[in-house]
Amino acid sequence: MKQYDEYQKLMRYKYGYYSFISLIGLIMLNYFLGLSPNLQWGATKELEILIILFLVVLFFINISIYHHAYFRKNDNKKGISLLFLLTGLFSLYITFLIMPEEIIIDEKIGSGAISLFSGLLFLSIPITTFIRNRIDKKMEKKEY
Amino acid sequence: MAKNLRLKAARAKKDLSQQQLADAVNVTRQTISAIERGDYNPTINLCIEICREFNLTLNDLFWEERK
Repeated sequence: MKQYDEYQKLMRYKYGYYSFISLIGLIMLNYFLGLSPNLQWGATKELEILIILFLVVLFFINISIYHHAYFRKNDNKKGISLLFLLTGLFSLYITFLIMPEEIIIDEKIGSGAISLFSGLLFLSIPITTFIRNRIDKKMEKKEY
Repeated sequence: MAKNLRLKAARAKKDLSQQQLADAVNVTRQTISAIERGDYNPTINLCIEICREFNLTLNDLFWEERK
């Protein structure tokens, strides 16, 4: 956290807290859903927890990017975003071309969803960065 | 929170961009932007850093009179 400035730290603490509360809420909700045998949506309980974690991490990363609290001051935003874009596309390529039948197994989310979600997670980073940059450019024009 | 127009004016007077001021006080440009917009209340340490950059006092840049 040392390389983030005070405003970035504040944003990370704030949205980290929201993410933690969301994680607890979703795990509780999933627990109550799991009490009914017909409401299990993942192939295994571990997979359900993993997907909930993916959702919370997705929220935290994207909200941090939106509030300029993901990249450090000296990070190469463009280079890192490009790397995430390529990783995301590769991950989605693996998911849909090599193991598409593993995403849904017997009407439940299967292990292929891990690759799908990680691909979406990586892809969301350059997309949110791009959107934020466009908003910043518009705001800069207004400010000057 | 009210906009910090005094900071913006001081920056304009010294012909500094938000990025240049941010680099001088070692924060991101968005932090300076948030302070000027009144979206973020900086810590006293950052206020002092900014004041030193402009050779001004805390009163000059950050003190708000009661209305």
